[in-house]
Amino acid sequence: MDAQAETNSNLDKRTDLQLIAAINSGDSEAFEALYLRYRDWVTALAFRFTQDNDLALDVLQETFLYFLKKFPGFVLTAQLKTFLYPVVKNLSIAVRRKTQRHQSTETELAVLEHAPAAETAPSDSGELTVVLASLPAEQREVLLLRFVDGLSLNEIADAMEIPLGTVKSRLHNALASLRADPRTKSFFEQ
Amino acid sequence: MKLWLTILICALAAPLFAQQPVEESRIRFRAVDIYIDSANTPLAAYQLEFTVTNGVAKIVGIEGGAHQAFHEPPFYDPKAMQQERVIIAAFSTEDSKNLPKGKTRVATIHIQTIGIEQPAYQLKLETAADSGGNKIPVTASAKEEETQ
Amino acid sequence: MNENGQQQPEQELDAPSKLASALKHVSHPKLFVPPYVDAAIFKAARQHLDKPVKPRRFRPWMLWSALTAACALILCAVRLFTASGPSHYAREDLNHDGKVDILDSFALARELKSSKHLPAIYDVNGDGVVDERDVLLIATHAVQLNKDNGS
Repeated sequence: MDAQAETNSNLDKRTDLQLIAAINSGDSEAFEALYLRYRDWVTALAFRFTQDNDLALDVLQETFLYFLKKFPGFVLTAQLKTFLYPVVKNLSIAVRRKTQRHQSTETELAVLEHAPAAETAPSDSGELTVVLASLPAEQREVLLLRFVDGLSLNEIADAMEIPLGTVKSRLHNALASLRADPRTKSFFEQ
Repeated sequence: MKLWLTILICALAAPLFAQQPVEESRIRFRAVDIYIDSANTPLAAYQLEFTVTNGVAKIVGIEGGAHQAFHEPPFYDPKAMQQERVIIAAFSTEDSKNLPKGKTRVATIHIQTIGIEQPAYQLKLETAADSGGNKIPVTASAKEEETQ
Repeated sequence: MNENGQQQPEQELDAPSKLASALKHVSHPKLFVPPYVDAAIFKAARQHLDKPVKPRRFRPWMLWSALTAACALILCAVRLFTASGPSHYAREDLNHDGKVDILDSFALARELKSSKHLPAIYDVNGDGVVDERDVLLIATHAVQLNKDNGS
C-alpha cells in the first residue's frame, strides 16, 4: 500500500468487512472511509484503461456511485478490489467509446519544461514501458494486477472472470517475455 | 468598340476581386512581459492567471523573468499552448537578500495574433508570498511589445 | 494448469522485487483527485445512506441531556480542531488554506531544503520518498487549467 493510501486508511482502522457492515447500517462516514481507502487505486486503474486524467476522474465518480447503490444489502465475498476491478474496467471502456466519437484533431505545442512528477521515472523504466506496451493486453493486465495492485492469482481470476489456469498461463508468458527481452532481462539478473 | 468596353469593365471590376490587404491576414507574434511589484518586500513566490479576453490571440510560449530568482520558465499547464488562458506560477527558495524587490519582470508570455485587431488581456493575481511563505500584497501588470 | 493443460510451477510466476518496483513506477501514476470529486461522493453517500430522524415527544429531562451533550460536543470539537490530525483538506493543500496553489509547492520545497527526512504525509506522489518530485507534482496541479478553483 502506498504512503498516501496508508495515511487514508489510518483515518479509520476498521477492516473492509467492518466498514461494509457499518455502511449497510446507514453509516455514511464508513462509506467515506472506504472511498478514501480505495480512491487512489481506482483512479490509477481507470487511468490505465483510459490513459486520460479527466476520464479517469469520471470513472472514479461513476464507480463509487455504482458501488453506493449496492447498499444496503451489499455482501463482500472477496477482496474489494476484486469487486471493483470489472466495474472500473467496464466504465472505462464505456467512457472511452463515448469520447472517441467526439475526439478532435487539434494539435498542441506542448513545451514540457516542467514535466509532471508522475511521469518522471528511472531511465530503465522507459524501456520497461516500451516492452510492457508490446505485450498482449491480457498478459499485461494480469502482470499489473499481480505486481502493481497486489491481487492474488485467485483474486485476479475472479476479477477478470477467467479460470485460474489462464491467469497463471498469462502471467508466465508475460514474465517470460520480459525475461527474454534484452531491454528488460536485467530486472531478472542478480 | 466591344473590346474596349470589355477592357474598361474589367478594369473597373478588378478591385472587387483583389486579394485582401496583406495586413488583415498577417500573423504577428507579441511578447507580453509580466511584472510583479512587491514594493519593499522580497518576492519569493507568485501565481497568476493570464487570459486573452477578445479571442484574437493564442499563447505560444512562456519564458522566465529578468531576476535570477525567476529566470527559469514558470510552471504552467502545457495544455495552455494554443489557447487563450494560462496559469503561471514560480517560486524561489533563495534567501531574502537574493530575491527581487519592487517591480520585477517575472515572466514573458509569447502570443500569436492573426489580423489587425489588438489583443486585450486580463491578469488575475492568485497569490504571492515572501521567503517565509507568508502571503504578501503585490501588484501585477503586463506590458506588450511586438516582436514580428 | 495453463490453457494447454500444463502445470505452471509457482516459482515461475514470481517477479524479482526490482521488476515489481519498476512496474509500480511506470504504471501507477499518482493522479490528483480534486476535492470537489470527493465532496460529490460524500454528498451522494449522505443522501443515500443517512436515515431520517423521527420527531420525538419533548420531555423536560431531555433539555438537560441535550445541554450536557452539546457541551461535550463543543469540547470535543475544540480538541479536534486544535489538535493535528486527519482533515478533509486535499493532500496537496499543505498549508491548509483550502486551495492547492504554488504556495503549497513552495512550502514543501522549503521543508525539503531545511530537512532531509519529512513525514510520509508529504509523499504526495506515493513513491515512498519525499523529494523534489512531490514538489513538482503539487506545482503541476496548482497550474492546471481544468481544476476546481475552490481547491
